[in-house]
Amino acid sequence: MNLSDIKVGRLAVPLRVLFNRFSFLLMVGASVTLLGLSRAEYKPIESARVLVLDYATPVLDVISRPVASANALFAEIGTLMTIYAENERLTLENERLHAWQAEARQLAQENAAFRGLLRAQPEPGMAFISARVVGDSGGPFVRTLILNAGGEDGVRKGEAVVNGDGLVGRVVEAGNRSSRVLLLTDLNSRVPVVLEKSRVRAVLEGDNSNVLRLSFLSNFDEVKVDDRVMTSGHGGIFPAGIPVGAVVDVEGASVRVAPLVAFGKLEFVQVLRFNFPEFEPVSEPDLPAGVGDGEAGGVAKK
Amino acid sequence: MSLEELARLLRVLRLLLPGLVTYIAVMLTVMPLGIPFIAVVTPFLSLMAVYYWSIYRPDLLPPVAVFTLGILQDILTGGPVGLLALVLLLVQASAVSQRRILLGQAFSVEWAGLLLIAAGAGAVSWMLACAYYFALVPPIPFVVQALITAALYPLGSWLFNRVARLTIGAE
Repeated sequence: MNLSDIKVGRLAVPLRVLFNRFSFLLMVGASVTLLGLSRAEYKPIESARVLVLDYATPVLDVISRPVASANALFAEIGTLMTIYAENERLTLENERLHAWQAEARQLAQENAAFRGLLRAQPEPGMAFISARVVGDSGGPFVRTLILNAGGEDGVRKGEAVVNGDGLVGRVVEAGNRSSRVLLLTDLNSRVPVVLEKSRVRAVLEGDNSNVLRLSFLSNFDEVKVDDRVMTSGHGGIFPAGIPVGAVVDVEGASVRVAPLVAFGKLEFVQVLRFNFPEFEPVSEPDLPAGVGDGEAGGVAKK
Repeated sequence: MSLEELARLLRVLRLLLPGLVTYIAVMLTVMPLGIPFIAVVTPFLSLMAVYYWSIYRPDLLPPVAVFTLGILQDILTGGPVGLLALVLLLVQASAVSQRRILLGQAFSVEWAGLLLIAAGAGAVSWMLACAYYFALVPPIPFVVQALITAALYPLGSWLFNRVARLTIGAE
């Protein structure tokens, strides 16, 4: 009995090495296969991604809360230092904004009157869903966020994501209670934009760095540093007029744009539910009153 | 449940610690941290964990576990599924093959080994990413990540060491 024990013991080590080597090769094979399938955008892989994200999000949601509180605490300590200067700055800004508010009200009235005269089609209504950022891909080759809101809350693939400062990105995966946002800065992000003053159209591309690049510019000469960039609404993904950034550098054919959003500090974002106008034949000669009255509303998820 | 059974359960749980630590490392990678520089490129925490356990307790972190955790990280970061799993498996294979050299050496040798492996992992994942996206992916973030990972390894290694003590004598 002792002898057989020794034999087994001697056999077990090479066997285990063999097994480990076999399982290692098997796992490498599985990784390579999955990479290929993922590259080919094989549907079950996409569904598995969404499923795993859905299960991981509650965990991320819980562990990201203390992290968020700690971040908030540090930010608060930081503001305590500058509270006096900040107050002065805000008082000045408030005065300036009051003037703008008066002007905006007047313009809104004027605009409504002109639209009425022209019988212009009203802009489609927009609603939004607020969601918390629970994950942030820190990898060197992708720029995405994980949100704690999904299909159950009304988030759909393709919707635009914004915060108070401007455009953040768009939803690329939506599970039941989680979703993934592709940031503007990601290598695969392409946003049709327009320059505010010159109305020159272009496509805004990310390259994984913190600065964006304008390409397919229709006119180089009119692009100047500090020009504001906003979404053009072309291509049917982003609503028009969302502020995106400002031109920081023009060097020949290379135009760099700094985004307005501080991507490293995002805590809450809004997913826009935007109904794009579709081509529907209108049977009646006159549109019924109240069609497409901009219905703005919000659902919050915290 | 008798006291003996409870003790056995606790022993088994201790054997799962390396996997659990690596899982936590994966989850921490996607935490939204407000730290300005780290927020852009986070350290490759799971690489640190896989490297450490491959040297000290390769029996407690089998390739299947490395693969599963790599796939989880791939999915959470939103990158190509299988890429980090493959990179982590290669990290494991290279660390295990060198463990006889690394074991019992001064910490600086272990640290230098990590720097080499992190640099190699960065190069491999950059090439894989370029091939996958069929584009020239900016290489700088990969260099930054390898450097941040190496800079944080002394802290990581110290923490893993604490956990490794708990696994001793659990078999």
